[in-house]
Amino acid sequence: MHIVVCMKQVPDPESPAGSFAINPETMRVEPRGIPPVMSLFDENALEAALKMKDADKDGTKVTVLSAGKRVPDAVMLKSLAAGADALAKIEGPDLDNMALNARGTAHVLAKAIEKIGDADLILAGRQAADSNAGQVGAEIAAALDLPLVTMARKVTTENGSVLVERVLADGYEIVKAPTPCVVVASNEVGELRYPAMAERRKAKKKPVSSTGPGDVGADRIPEAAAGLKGLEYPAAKERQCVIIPGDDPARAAKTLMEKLKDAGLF
Amino acid sequence: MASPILVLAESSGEKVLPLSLEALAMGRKAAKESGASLAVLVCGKGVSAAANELLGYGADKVLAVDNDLLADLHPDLLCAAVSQVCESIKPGAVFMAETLTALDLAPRLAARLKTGCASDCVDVSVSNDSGGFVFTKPVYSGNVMARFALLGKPVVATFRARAAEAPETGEASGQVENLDVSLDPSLARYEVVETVSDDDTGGPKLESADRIVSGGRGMGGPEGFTVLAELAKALGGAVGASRPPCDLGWISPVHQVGITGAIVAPSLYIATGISGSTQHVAGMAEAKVIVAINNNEKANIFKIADFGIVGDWENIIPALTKAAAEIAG
Ligand SMILES: Cc1cc2nc3c(=O)[nH]c(=O)nc-3n(C[C@H](O)[C@H](O)[C@H](O)COP(=O)(O)OP(=O)(O)OC[C@H]3O[C@@H](n4cnc5c(N)ncnc54)[C@H](O)[C@@H]3O)c2cc1C
Ligand SMILES: Nc1ncnc2c1ncn2[C@@H]1O[C@H](COP(=O)(O)O)[C@@H](O)[C@H]1O
Repeated sequence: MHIVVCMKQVPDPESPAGSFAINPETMRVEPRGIPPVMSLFDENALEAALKMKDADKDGTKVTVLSAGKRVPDAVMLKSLAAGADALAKIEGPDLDNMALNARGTAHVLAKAIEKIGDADLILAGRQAADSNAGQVGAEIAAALDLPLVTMARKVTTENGSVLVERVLADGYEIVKAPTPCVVVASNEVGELRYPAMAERRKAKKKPVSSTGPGDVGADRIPEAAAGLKGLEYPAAKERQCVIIPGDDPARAAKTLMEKLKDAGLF
Repeated sequence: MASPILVLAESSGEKVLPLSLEALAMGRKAAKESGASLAVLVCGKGVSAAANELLGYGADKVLAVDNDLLADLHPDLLCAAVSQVCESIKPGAVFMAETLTALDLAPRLAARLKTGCASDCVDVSVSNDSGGFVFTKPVYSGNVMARFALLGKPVVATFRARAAEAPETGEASGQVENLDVSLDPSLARYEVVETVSDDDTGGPKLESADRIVSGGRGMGGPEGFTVLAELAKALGGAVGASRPPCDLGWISPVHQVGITGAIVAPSLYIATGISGSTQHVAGMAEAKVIVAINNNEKANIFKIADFGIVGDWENIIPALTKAAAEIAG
C-alpha cells in the first residue's frame, strides 16, 4: 500500500503570542523569530500512516507530500526520521501566501498525487495550524473524485479496503472505504513518534524530490474563494491572579475553597 | 431581494442542538443586517419534532428533509441532501454550528458547490462596500483573528460555540415545509460497519457542566485523571482535558477543551497541570472563575486565572477533594 501524507510546514503555533506580528500594509502575518515546524495535525496523519507501516513493514510505502513557496528540508527531515520513506516537495513562487486558497492548494496537491500515480491512501490533517481552515482534505477528495473519510482516530487495512475509526460526539464509528480514498486524521491518532538518533542519520539518505507546480501539471491554480479584509490581535484574556502557596496542601485547599465561597460559587 | 440565509440545524433525539440555536441567532443577525430572509433546515429521519421546535425562533421558513436514508447522517448522503436543498432555495449563505457533523459537512459542501468556506467563525457582519458577508475567524491557531469575504453562492460558514447567544423561544408560527430530495444508497462512498460508544463519564456533559476540573500533560498518565474525577465528583462537575491527554489516550477525546475541542463557560474551571496555551485558553477563557494548579509558578495559565495554587497536583488535588466534600457536600 502506498500512502501519501499531506504535510504542511507552518510557523510554530505554540510560540508566545507576540511572535505573530500583523503587517497591516501587506495584510500578512509575519512570524517573528519562530521556526517553521510540521503542522500538528499533519504529524498525527503521519503517525497514522506509520502505524499502518508497523503492521506491514514491507508492503507499505509512505511518501510525505508538501507544497509551499519554499519547503526547507530541515523542517521536513523529522518526517523521514520518524519513518516516512520519501519526501516530495512542490515549491515555487506561485505557492506563496496560499493559506487562504484551499482549492488552489488542493489542486496542486491533487496534481502531484496524480503524478505519483499509485497512491492507495491519501492522508491529510484535520486543519493546518496557520489557516485553521480544515478544507484542503475535502478539496483534494473533490479534485480527484475520491471517497472522503474525516475525523479519523485510527486507520487499518483489510483486503485492499481501509477501515477507519471516526470520532463521533459520544464515541466512534468504524467505516470501511475502498481505495484509493482520502482520510483526514484528527489528533486522537496519537502524537508522532520520536525518532532515535540513528534514524535521524538514516533520514538524510532517503529520497527527497523538489518540483514546481507546473512540473506536476498544476499550471493554472484556481483563485482563492476567500479574500482577506482585515487582521487583528485577539482580545487579551488576562486576569489578576491571587496566588496561594501550595506547600501546605490542606491549608491551600481550605483557603481556595473559602475564596471560591466568597466569589459566590457555593 | 437578497438571497436567503439558510441555517442548518442539527438535532439530538427530538431536540434541536443548543449550538444550532446559536447558529440560528447568527443567521438572524446577518439576515437583519443584510435584508435577507432567514430559512432554517433540519435533515434526518424522524425530524418532525425538531422542525416543529424550530417554528418558535422567528425564521421566515422552517424546512425539513425527512428521509430514511438520512437516519445515520452519512456524510455523503447528508451533503447530497443539503446541496439539493441549496439548488432549490438558492441561498446566499449556509450557516451551521461548528459540530463534528459540520466539521465534515461544511468543507465537503463547499468543495462540491465550488464556493468559499470559513470554519469556526466567531462573528459575521455585512461589508459596507460589497454588501457581502464578512466572517471573523481565528487563524494561526488563535494567535490572530482574520476577517474574510467569501466568494460564490452559497458561501458556507460554521460558527464556534458561544459566538452568539441562543435566542429565546417565542410563539410557534407558520408551518414546517417538507422538502423532497432524491437520494440513493449508492451515493454513500463508504460503509459504516459499527458504532461504538465510549462515553466513560456518567457525570454531567462538558458543555452543560457548571463546574469543570481539567487536567493536562502535567497529570502524567491516566491515573491522574482518576484523581481529578474524584474532585469533579465532589464538586458535582465534569472532567475536562487539554489536548495532549486526549492524544495520548489517557482520557477519551470527548473531554477535550479548546479550539479543537469543546468551548466551555462554566462558573468554575480548575486547570490542573495545564500550561495555558492560546489554543486551550480560547476554549475556557469565558469561565466565570478560573483556578490554576501548576508546579511552575511562571506557567502562562496563572496569567489568565483568578486564583492559583503553585504546587504538585498529587498533593493539592486530594486536599481539594476533601475540602470540596466538606463545603459542597
Ligand atoms: C491547530 C491546533 C489546535 C489545538 N487545539 C487544542 C485544543 O483544542 N485544546 C488544547 O488543550 N490544546 C490544543 N492544541 C495544543 C496546544 O497548542 C498545546 O500543545 C496544549 O494545550 C498543551 O497542553 P498542556 O498544557 O496540557 O501541556 P504542556 O504545555 O506540556 O503543560 C503541562 C503543564 O503541566 C505542569 N505540570 C507538570 N507536572 C505537574 C505536576 N506534577 N503538578 C502540577 N503541574 C504540573 C507544567 O508546569 C506545565 O505547565 C492545539 C494546537 C494546535 C496547533
Ligand atoms: N501546502 C500544503 N502542503 C501539504 N499539505 C497541505 C498543504 N496545505 C494543506 N495541507 C493539508 O491539508 C490539511 C488541511 O489544511 P487546511 O485546509 O489549510 O486547514 C493540512 O492539515 C495538510 O494535511
